[in-house]
Amino acid sequence: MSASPVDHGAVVVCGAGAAGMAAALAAARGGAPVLLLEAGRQVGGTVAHALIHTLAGLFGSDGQHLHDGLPRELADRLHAADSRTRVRKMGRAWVLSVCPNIYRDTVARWIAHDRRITVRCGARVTRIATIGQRVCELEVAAGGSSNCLRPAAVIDATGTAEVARLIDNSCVCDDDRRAAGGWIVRVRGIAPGALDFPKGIGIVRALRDAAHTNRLPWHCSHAWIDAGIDNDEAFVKLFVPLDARWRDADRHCEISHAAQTSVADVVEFLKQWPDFARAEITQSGSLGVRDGGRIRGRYTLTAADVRQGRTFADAVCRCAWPIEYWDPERGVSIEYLPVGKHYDIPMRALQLEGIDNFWAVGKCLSADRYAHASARVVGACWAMGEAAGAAAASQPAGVEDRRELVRAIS
Amino acid sequence: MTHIEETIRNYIQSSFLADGQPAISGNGESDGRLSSDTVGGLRCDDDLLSILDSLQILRMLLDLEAQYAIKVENSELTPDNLGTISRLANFIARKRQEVACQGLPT
Repeated sequence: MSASPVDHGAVVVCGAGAAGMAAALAAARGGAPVLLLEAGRQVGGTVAHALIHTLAGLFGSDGQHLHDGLPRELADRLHAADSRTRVRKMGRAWVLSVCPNIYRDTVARWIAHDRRITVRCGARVTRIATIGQRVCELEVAAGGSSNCLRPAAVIDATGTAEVARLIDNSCVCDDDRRAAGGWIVRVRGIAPGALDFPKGIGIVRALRDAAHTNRLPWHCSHAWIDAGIDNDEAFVKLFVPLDARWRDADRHCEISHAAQTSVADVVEFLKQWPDFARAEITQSGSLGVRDGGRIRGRYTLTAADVRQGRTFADAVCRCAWPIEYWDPERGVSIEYLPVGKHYDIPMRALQLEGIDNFWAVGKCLSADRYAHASARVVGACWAMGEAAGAAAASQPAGVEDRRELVRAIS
Repeated sequence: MTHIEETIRNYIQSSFLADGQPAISGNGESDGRLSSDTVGGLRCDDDLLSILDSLQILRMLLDLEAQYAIKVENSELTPDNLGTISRLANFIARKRQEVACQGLPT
C-alpha cells in the first residue's frame, strides 16, 4: 500500500460501523480529510453484517428523537430509502425497524458520496506511537503490506478497542462476564401474523422447553425470534456466550460455526408448527458482539449514572435505552429507565487519560458492565461518533518530526 | 379485586416495575399518562401489553403456570386472555376449573 496525501494530517477512523461512519462523516463535515479503515470487506458494521433489524437508542420513552444531527439524518435516510422502515414500540422502548440490507446500502452510499472520506477495507492498525500527549504515527497493514502515516487525530471505533490496546493494553477492560454475543438469521416463508404479540411468545417458550429437555442445545433456551419488516419474515436470534479466547481468529471461527449449526437446528425445530412449516433461512449474519472490550477512560460511566439520569457538562449525547444485559449464563435482563428519563454520555468517557488526539467511540466507550449494556446501542454509537469526529476535525495536523518519538508500542 | 387479580398485580409490581416507576395507562401507545392509582399500583384494567415487554410476559406466564398448576396453550396467548389483570385472572380461573374438571390436581 503506498502513501497518499490523505495519509498525513488526516483524521483516521478505525472501524466502519455505526460510530466509525458517524465519526468519519462528522470529521469530514468539519473540513478534515478522513481516512476510514475497516478490517472487513465493506462498511456497515454490526447492523449491516450481524443483521440488526431494530435500531435502538434513537428515541426517548415518548418515541421522539433523542438526537438531532447524524442519528436523525440516518433515520430520515432510512425512511427515504425504504417505505417499510418504521418506528415501533418494542416492550416499553422505541426502535426503528429496518431491513439490514437497506441500512448497509444506505450508509455505504452516504460514505461514498463524501469525497473527503477515503475508505480502505481489509485494513487494520498494527502499531501506534505517541509523542507526549498525542498519537503521532500509525502503522496500517492491508493486502500483505504495511504503511506508516501521521494522523491529526485517531478515533477507535473498532468495537473491540483494537487501537486502544496498541496504545496500552492495560487501558482496555475485558469483562470476565462480558455480555453474550448474538447470531441472527433472516427467515422467510412464515405465516403472516405468526409472531403477533403476544402470540409469538409461545414460540419462544417452546424453544426454551426444547432446550431444557435437550432437544436443542442449552443456549437455545435464550434464543429469540422477532418479526421482520415483511409479513412472511422473521429474525431468529441465537444467544452466543463469548469466552476469554473469543478474539483469537481460530476460536472466533469455532464459535461462529457452532452458532450457525445451532441456529439451523432451531429453524428446523420451528418447522413443526404449521405457521413455520415453510420457513427457510435466507440470510445469515456474522457474529454480533455486544461487548468486545471497553476503554478505561478519563471517566467511566456507571450504572448509577444511567439509573439516575445523570447529566454532564461535557455531554456528547443522550441515551434512554434500558440496561439490556445479556448475562452469559442467565440470559437477558432488561431494566427500564423511568418514563421520560435519559442520561448523558460525557466526552471524557471517550478519551484516554494523557492522550489528547484519540477517542474511543461506540461499543468501546468507558463504561461499567451495566452502563455499557445501555449505552452500546446503535443510536448512541452514531451520536458518540458524531461528537468525536467533530472534535477530531479541529485537531492540528500530525506531528512531523519523528526524532521526537518517545514511545512506540507494538 | 379477586385473590388472583391481587396476586398478579403484586407479582407484576414486585417483579417488573421498579420503585418509583409508574405504570402507564394506554392502549399500546405510550402517552405519558399515569394511572390514577399509581400509589396503589396497577389497575385491573390497565393494558398489560403496553406495560410489559415480551420477555416479562413470558416470565410471568411461566411463573403463573407453575403457581396455579395450569398449562397455557400457544393458541391461548391472546389479548383477550392476557391483555389486562382482570382478563388474565379470569383466564387463570377458567383454566383451573378445566383442570379440576379433568380430575387433575390443582
